[in-house]
Amino acid sequence: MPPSSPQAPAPLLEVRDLFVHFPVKMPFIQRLFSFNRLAVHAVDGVSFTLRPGEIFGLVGESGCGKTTVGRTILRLMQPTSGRIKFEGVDITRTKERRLRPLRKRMQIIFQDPHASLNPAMTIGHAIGHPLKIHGLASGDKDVRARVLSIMQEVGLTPAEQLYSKYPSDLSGGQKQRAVIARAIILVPKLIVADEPVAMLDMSIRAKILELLLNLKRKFDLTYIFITHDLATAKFVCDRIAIMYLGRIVEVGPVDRIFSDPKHPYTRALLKAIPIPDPRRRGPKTLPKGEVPDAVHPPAGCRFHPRCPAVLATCGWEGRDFIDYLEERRLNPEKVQRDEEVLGPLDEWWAKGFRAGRKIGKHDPAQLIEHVRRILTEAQPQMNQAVRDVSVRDRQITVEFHHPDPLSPKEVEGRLVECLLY
Amino acid sequence: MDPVLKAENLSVEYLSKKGYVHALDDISLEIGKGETVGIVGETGSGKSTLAKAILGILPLGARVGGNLLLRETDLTRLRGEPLRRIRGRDIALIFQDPMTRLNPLMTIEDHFLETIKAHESVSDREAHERTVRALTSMRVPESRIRNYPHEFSGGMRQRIMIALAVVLRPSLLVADEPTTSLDVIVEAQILEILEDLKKVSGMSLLLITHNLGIVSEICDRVLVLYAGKMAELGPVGDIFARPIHPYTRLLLKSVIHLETKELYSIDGTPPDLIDPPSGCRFHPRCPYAQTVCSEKVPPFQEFRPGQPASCLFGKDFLDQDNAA
Repeated sequence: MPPSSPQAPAPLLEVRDLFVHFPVKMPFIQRLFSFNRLAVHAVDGVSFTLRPGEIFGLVGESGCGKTTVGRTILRLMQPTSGRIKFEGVDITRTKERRLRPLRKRMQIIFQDPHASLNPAMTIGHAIGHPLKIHGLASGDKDVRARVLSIMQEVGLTPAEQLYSKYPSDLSGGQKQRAVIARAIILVPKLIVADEPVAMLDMSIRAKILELLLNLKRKFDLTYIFITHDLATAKFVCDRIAIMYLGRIVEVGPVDRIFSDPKHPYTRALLKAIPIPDPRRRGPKTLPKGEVPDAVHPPAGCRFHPRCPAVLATCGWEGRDFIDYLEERRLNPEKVQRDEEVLGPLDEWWAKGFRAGRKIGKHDPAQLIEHVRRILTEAQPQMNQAVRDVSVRDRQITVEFHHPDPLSPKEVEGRLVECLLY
Repeated sequence: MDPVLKAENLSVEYLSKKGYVHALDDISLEIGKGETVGIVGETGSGKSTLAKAILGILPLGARVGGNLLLRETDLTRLRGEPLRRIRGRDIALIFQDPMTRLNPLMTIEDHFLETIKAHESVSDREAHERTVRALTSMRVPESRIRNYPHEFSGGMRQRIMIALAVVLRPSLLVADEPTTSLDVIVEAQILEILEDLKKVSGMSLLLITHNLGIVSEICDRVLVLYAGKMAELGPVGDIFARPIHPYTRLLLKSVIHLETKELYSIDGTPPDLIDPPSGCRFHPRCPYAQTVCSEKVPPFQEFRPGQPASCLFGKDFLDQDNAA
């Protein structure tokens, strides 16, 4: 059902162009002299809409910004810009005092149940704590009764006995049940579940997931389910957003995305998952390298330096050329000639779409010729993206074309941000 | 073929405040040359204790019983210098988190020089050349040899750890959850590297993991541990397709993978190893348990060639399988 259809219920949460940047800590002197403040681009333009009653997955590798999105939605972190609307009310800049009543309606479950429970608080006290904070109970007796009933609900039994235990007396699964109980005792509308089973043993993960699904039906909850585990996301979620370096690259219904992933990153992720069936072993084509630094995200599509389906227009830039030079030095046949003509790698610089170095006493014509030659040995898409190789003022410069503009496109029932479509 | 490493009735006990923890009990396992053996189990199954016992890095006060033979040498009898000579040269270890195992104040090259020179008397020049070769084979460029650990990404650090572990060409590499802190794509890259490395060097690999997907991707044989005891051992194909022990069956069933249609979990939690359950240690959680299971310790016996398991009803499960 497309979001614009008239039967669609009002969204529970709307996130528009959310940016969350964290300043990079620098020594005072350095800060005085640097013009641009460096920032980690944790979330860099994320938009999505959450319908009541759905389980929406935010899926991606570490550092993709999924946790930051989850926490910013609850205003546990401050957005740099963008808009967050909860039940139609803009909460992007709401003051803490006025946010508090809303907090009853949105709760979070963290990954590490041990770290989310105060070791000096009994389980019963911890679960009942939100009732006291929000002044929702008429007395200690009332709190106790409601805590015991919610403990039954989450399977923390025998509740009477566990009520006065401390977190250290409980197993990992039981602790996570306590954390869940604390989150739902206020009967919230929205729960952000941040890797709720990642720390648990395989044999008990299913129990906790089942509990979350049952509670959702019973209390009419809506979940944002944050995970790096695609298999869990597939089982649990209705819709998922695949995130990469602060952006959503593909978002849509779970069955569509898993049966026919469109973004090359989604495809790579799905292929990389180890399959628990030794008969289906085989070589995999994996994207090279790792997730780059979020302080300087790649130009154009952020996945382009690793993408197996990359185009010439995806955002090739100066540092891709230097990475390529570095890659060549791993090849014993090429290393010697490259070192002779191109010199040590640390004399090369990259800035935006250009890379270069001072040529010293080298013959400019020979240098240009060598650079052009090695470009023909690179990925053809990189070579096609080169705008010019030139020598000016004793500097050799390799310059790339600017990338084509990128925006999410509707492809077979989901949104994909990729120039292939 | 002679095994590279042979554990015979190995047991390990730790002293804790509440008494002795029976972390490993009666483990017998042979690892052949060039073989990859996976050790799987939940938290507290004893899988990391096994790795530590092999490397001789158990905490002080641990009681070790049985033998651990590296060719003719019994590792459990070695202390100090003789053990140090074997560790690193014959047996090497890679850990879950490389950052905690690399010294932040040393360059990458210094790590290698230290390791090489601790075991062999070679010239600086040769040590340097071997370092470069080891690193470039792991796709770490020579230009970064004088960088510090924090200047590398997680995957790159794990590749450096692997290069450092294998620079002395050990016959056995023990990998304790080597990819657990990595993302899936980098994890797959590291597994590929380990496989290539094995092909080139012929070394054996003992892979300790809780991830059954990884086991199925790269292991030849699997040992399933439960509460410090061997539940089942066998070729990876048989363990995944025709497991015998109920614990193996249920553990496989509880894995959430892309084709999961129904969630499954094992009731209860792993037992306290200070006072482990009587009889079969799995009986309190086993849906097939009979009274006898709490009375009699099941022997670890072969049900199919090369596939022993410790279950009193193994024969019945086998017959059911054969009938099906």
